[in-house]
Amino acid sequence: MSRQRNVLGVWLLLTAGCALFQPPPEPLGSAPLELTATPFFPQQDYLCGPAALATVLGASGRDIHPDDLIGALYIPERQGSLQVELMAAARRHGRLAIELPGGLPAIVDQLEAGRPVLVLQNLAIDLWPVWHYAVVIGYRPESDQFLLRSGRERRKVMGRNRFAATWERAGRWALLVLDPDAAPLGVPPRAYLQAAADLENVGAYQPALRAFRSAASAWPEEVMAGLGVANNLYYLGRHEAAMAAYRRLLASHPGHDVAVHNLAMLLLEAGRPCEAQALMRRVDAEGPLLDTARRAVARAPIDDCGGAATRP
Amino acid sequence: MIARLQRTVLQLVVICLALAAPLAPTHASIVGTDAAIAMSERAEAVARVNAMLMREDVRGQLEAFGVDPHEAMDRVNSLTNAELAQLQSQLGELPAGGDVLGVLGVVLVVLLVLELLGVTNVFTGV
Repeated sequence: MSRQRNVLGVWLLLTAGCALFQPPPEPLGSAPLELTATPFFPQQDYLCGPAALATVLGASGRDIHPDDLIGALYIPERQGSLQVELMAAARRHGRLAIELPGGLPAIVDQLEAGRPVLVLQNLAIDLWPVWHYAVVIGYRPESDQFLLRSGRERRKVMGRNRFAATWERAGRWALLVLDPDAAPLGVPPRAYLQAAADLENVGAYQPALRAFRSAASAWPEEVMAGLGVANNLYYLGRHEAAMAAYRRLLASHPGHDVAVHNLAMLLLEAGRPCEAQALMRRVDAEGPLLDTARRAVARAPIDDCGGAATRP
Repeated sequence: MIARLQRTVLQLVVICLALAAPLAPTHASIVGTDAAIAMSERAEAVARVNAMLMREDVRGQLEAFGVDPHEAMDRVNSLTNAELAQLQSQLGELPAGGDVLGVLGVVLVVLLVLELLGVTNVFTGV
């Protein structure tokens, strides 16, 4: 017992010490930001999930009322919504659901780009959590305060430290809901591309294609952006366009294993084994995917490729 | 008679469906972007660890422990993604730079992870 008390005492001393030596925080931006056009849906009962999601969907150009999201989001026994379901619902509405890494500065970066950010907060303590979804719509550097659409409050003002504490107790979860046609300003490529791939995974090929195109124009050097464009063209049944996209990717990244493999498979599927053969002949790299492609091409029935095999 | 005919037709339908299933156009033949991202991230992670293992000082230290650096690289290649992530995060916590402590740290972390996974037994005798 007394030992426990000692431990607690030491802990308090240490944390107090930490607090004393903490430098005053730098403001997170220079100009005050407030996205006043962000829609507001006063929350009813425990429905902060649907209200917050409808807010960011609306800001991304998809007008929807929280009532229309309740069925997809609200779990009565839990009196709330799960993060994964918020993301899934955003995808169902053709939007990218991007988990933002990078802490508070990343949120302020998005505000600067004109995009509100959905956050999860724990308004109580770790042992007895009170979860709450809200939407960050502004930041005031002069007073170091965040502005939120939260619950029934259209414009809740929270000091940065208090906001950061509630947000950190909820695992620093920040969700950006983005129109796939919008430029990915301030979003790390990796997080953006993963969100686009998630759209593809759930069969939303049209939005996924648009997202990968936005990524390709923002980061032309990203192989995965070009690959995503080609793959989703294929999934949409636009085979000629997909082939052209794989070939473009191979022009800048010769021998890229996934692009070679997918193009070879597509050529075989389209009944053009000679072109597949010619493609494989030009690749001398090794790897499991390339081996798979070589075997598939070797198995394809080829009578006479003639001049077609030498086609560039 | 009719019942028998029905049964034959049903059997034919089942056989046709079974034959048609593999011929139907599927999306399974291409590698999706999600899988491609996972593969490239893995390749990057393996390359980062291997580049560390091939550093002159780290190689020397590995050899001092009686571990062939090339064998260690082979083993890094066969780690699962989760194990690789664990190794990476532990390596990431080490101080950067070419000091002796840093080198020893890298070698110990790599050996410890490989040891825990049962691929080496450097520490078993200790």
